[in-house]
Amino acid sequence: MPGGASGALAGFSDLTANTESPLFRLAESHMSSAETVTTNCVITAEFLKELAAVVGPARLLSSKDELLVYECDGYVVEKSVPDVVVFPENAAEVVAIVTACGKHRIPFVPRGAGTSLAGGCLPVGGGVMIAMTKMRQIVDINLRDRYAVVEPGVVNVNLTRALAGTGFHYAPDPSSQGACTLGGNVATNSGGPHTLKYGVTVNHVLGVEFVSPQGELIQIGGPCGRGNGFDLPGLFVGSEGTFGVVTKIWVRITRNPAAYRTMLAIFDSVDDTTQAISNIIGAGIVPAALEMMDKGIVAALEQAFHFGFPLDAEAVLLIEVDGLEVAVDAEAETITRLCKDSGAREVRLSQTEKERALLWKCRKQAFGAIGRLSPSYCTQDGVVPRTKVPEILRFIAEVSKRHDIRIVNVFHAGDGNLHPILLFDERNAEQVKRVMLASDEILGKCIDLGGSVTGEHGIGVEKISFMNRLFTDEDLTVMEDVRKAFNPDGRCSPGKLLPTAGACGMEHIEKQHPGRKAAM
Amino acid sequence: MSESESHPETAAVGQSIPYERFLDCVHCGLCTSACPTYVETGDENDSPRGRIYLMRSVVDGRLDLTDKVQGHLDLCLDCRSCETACPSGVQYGRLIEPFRVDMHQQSAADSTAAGTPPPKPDWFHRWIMYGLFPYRRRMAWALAPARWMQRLKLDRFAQAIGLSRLLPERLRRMQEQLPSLGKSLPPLPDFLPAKGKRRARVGLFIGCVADAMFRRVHWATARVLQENGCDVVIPRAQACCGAIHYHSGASEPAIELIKQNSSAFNDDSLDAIIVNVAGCGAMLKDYSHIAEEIAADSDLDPAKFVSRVKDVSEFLAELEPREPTGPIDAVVAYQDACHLQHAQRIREQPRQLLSMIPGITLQPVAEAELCCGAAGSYNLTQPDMADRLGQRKVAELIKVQPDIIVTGNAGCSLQLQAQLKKAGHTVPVLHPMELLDLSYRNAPLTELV
Amino acid sequence: MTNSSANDSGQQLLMPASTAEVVELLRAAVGSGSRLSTNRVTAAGTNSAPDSVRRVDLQKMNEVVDYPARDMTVTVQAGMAVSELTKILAEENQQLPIDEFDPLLSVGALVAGDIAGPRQYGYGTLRDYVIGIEAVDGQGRIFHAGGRVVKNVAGYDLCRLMVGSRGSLGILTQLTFKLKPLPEQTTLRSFRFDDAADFESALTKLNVSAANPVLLDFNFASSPPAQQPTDDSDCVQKDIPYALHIGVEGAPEACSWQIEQLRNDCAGGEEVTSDGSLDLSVDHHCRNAGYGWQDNEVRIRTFPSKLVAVATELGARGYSTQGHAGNGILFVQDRTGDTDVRTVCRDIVSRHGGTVSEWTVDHPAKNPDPLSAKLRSTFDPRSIFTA
Repeated sequence: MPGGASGALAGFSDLTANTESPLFRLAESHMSSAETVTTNCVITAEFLKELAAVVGPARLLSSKDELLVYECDGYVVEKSVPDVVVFPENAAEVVAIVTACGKHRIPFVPRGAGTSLAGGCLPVGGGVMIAMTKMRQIVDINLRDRYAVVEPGVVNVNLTRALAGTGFHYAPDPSSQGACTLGGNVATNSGGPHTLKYGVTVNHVLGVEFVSPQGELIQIGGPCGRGNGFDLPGLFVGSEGTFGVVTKIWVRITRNPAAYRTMLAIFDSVDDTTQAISNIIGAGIVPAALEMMDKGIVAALEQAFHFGFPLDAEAVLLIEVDGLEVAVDAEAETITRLCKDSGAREVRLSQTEKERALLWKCRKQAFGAIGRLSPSYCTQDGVVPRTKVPEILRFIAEVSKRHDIRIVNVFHAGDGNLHPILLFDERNAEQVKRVMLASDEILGKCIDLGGSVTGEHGIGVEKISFMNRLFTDEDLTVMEDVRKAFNPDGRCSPGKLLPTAGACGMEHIEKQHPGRKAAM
Repeated sequence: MSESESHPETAAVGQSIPYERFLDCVHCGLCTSACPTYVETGDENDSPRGRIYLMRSVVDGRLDLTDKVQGHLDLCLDCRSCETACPSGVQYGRLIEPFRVDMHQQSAADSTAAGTPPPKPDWFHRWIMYGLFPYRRRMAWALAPARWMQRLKLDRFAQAIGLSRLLPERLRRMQEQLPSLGKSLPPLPDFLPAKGKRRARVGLFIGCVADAMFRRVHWATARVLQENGCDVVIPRAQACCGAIHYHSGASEPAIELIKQNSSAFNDDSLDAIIVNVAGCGAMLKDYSHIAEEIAADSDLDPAKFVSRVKDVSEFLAELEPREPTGPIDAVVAYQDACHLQHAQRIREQPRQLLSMIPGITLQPVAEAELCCGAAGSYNLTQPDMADRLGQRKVAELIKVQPDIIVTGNAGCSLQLQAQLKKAGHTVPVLHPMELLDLSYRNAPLTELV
Repeated sequence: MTNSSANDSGQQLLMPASTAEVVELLRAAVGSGSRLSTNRVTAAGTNSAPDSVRRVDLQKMNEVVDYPARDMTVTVQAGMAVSELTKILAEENQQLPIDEFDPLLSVGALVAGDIAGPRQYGYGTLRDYVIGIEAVDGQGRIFHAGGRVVKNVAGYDLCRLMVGSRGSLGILTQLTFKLKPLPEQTTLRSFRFDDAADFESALTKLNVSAANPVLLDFNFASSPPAQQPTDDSDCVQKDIPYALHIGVEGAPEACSWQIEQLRNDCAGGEEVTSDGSLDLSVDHHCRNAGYGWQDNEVRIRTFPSKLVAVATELGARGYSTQGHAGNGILFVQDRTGDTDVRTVCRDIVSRHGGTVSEWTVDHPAKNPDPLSAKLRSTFDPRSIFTA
């Protein structure tokens, strides 16, 4: 298989955790099952006592029956149970935990809400999991200077809720924003539908306070942005937990647009739809959001939310423009014209705020609604240059036909960030194999078209074997050197992002994941 | 670290639950932040996703049903907030409820097997929860002394000198939870006629605890229905909805109550069966599922009954209510009862009705989706978490400086009153029908507060 | 073989024509122990660097590698002049919205210097536009990061690390930018305020203005006003204690609507014209201000809310300031003749919050934090790169 073992599995991010299922057995065949993962990191009674002295027994889990739920996040194909879970309440406790881990040479991994779709908080090789869910204070909101200070466990949407009525919001809005934490957003550089106009997490992070793997509390950047050195906050965002444990974040807050116009353009052919996307971007309009949903997804959404989508359309575009009241109507008109010129059957303008909210709810909960189409599915996160969207969609259709796997599409069309969803029944082993092949081919094609295998979900453990298809050996060596500058022995979030990141207890991974050459 | 003690025979627990229901969960985690207990503890074991994982692991034989696992499952409020948040349509209630029924039956069976007298139901469940709550008349009798104590201010005296502390903890909490009971009103008659042109004929469900403590709300509800052209029928043969029994794993009495209510309202002339208590409404609407789960062999089929059950706000909003004209100048904070907003998906209708009343300013409250910690008998069985959530809720409600707090459920009302008192606030807690009734009658707010 | 020639100061100038040649000259430098500088020679920058420092100029690497205009991205070699890139993009009605008016500056130097002009208030800075890089580090290793797509989270974000790294980590050889459409119209207006309180109040209102300004600059002449450094006759700030320059963009009707809003927001001030025409271009404004390119300027970054206080304190000590009010950025002109302008700035900033930047040609590695130092030694263990 071209992508190596884990590459073949890349993308089974939303499968259910059925240990009895063929898929799970397949996953087990090259990774120890939850029960059998053993770490080389010996958790001694003394170490546990030290941790308990930091957080108290009530904020420490160490018995198997309470650890099991921490064996995976939103990506359930690979699992590994941590040896201990601790719940620090402040930065000083994180420092003490990380210091104790250092003294005993134990690997550790931070975890927010566990909504990662790429295994970002999988405790590879066991060790200590630092659950940041008790550090969830919004420390400060400063409207005049347009920043907020938050602890990493604050749920994304809670910041925007706290800003309700002020005329400001926090711009990055991943579809999981109702649950995912800002610390996790920093780790994965999360995106969302409105990143087309407003940018991703890194564009909104002014500073980060974190505990380094050596146990030092370090602040990079701050409310006025970075100081004289390098753009360390810029480098830190998206490092997937491999540089340290975030304890505080300074984020930029954004003015609410005065007006929105939200449109639903309905098309009878996929080619016309992609033509419209290209024409809108080409006309120099940057909508706040430009999302495409094809026939399959529209059917599922209609069943779930009864919005009134046309079930006979081949695809719809959800387009939002925002800005000044005096400007949005003209933009909406231009977009309507461009859509119709590209062959749109109809362009509906949402008439009320309620209608707009429902339209967005449909879009953001689209993945979940897939449960209504098929017992299992896997979501991909490929990116192609915007003009290659028609080509990749044709390719996906061809792959779907060739492997006889139904694929539906819902994605950030304006960014070229695809989320093809492959539908299957996990109880059918043969079908599962075809899904793996199809996934691998789609991601490979994204690379061939000049794109990437992840636009917003991250590499995590899921896509690690794609790294050497995206980057040269020299690129990866340089990245590895950067990792070592922060995290010299790889004990912080081992086995993530880079194919070479490892730590104690990684030997079994090397054996069973030939795609992951554990170097340390 | 030692594993917590496990029970020997746990194989049967959860086995009757259709396995597909577990498979519906794709482990995305979007439910976590909607879960009150997770929001408080931050522990995945106390989240809906975590609990499903625990239950499934027990069913799969990966985990024993240890005390710790039971503890996390028992801490669930069954508020169903996660069902609203879940994009995959996981029927969480239909996982946790039957699982807990199994769990409690299993522990009873374990005790029998061990030769010890069954500790469950304990005295509290036997005498208070099953023996007292479900019976209107017994409740009325039981509350009489409390009513007199309150009237003579003896209750405060007892609390002040610490006498109340001599009561067993759960009884003491019940005493603390008791609202100001006021004058006892006469029971509702069998029939109240529509005013003006008759638009519908409805049955009114009056429940057990509610009728004893919230008869005022029942009268207000009946008057509002009359005002909107409804004949109101109050069948005498109706009984407790059975939620208390079912949720604590006592399935047999629950089945009896389902039968009793289905037959009491078996009247083809009724256009709807109206409930004004969210918890009872959710239970009544769930009769078919429950019958399927716990009495699959019997010929019990409450479908006809279920199809006509409507929350009063749901019914009125559909009927298009008559415009209320009496002004009530007040800032109102509406607290969604979980069993309305999550279990029955009723959010807009009560707000719509309240907004019709001239003078009322409805203030949006943060964390509206979170449970107040009442959750039926939860505040008696999980007092710590109930208090944490209660105080959290009170803090959010007070932020909007309301003159009145409105909620559509008896349990929430009790909890909010107790928690407000504890935090030193004196804002009254009313039912939407009380305000609507007041406005229809053009009566002053002082009548209620 | 790398072309080389001698520059004015007699120093050897290396002009590689490809990434391979950059690698070659890096390897040669490693072998010979010589040092390299990619910093351009500024007007005031008579070269004091020792002879062992060899200057690298990428002017031969000035090609467009790929410009799929409809993707709104462009990939260019790092030696291309910014003015050239601007011209190419304008043909497609697109722009890289970084205000740069030095016609000779290369895109590599632009990125390495993290140059940002007045419109950073509306558009952000280069960290928001660089989506892919190719560079050669101090060991002669070619490395890439990012790619050519606007959204990509694969691998560490070395793009951000390179933005503003001032040539101390590697030589940028190729860059990919995300682009923006050119606005239909840009309109600038200026307002004068005699009183700090009125000025402050206007800034506070503008922070929540119904308009959506892309540019919010100010200048403040010290009192008594020092002699202006420029003899530009249409310089608007003469004799004006506080001047505010505000720019809006969009369709003509959107611009005029926004200007009405700005007039409300600035009701405490007086609208001023420079030369009879109300419309100033961004270019003209930049040339007037000459942001960041005078060697005797110190840049302060503070909170927008503290800007007036900092400017007023500096004014009381005889320093004139100008800068990006919306971003809390001030440039302090040292024309009092004393040499400790930085000390004064640091003292004031320490009381209000923010940083005093080592701006023009200072190397960020001069006083680095430990992490920056570690990264520096990772990319350039032999300290080949110098100012």
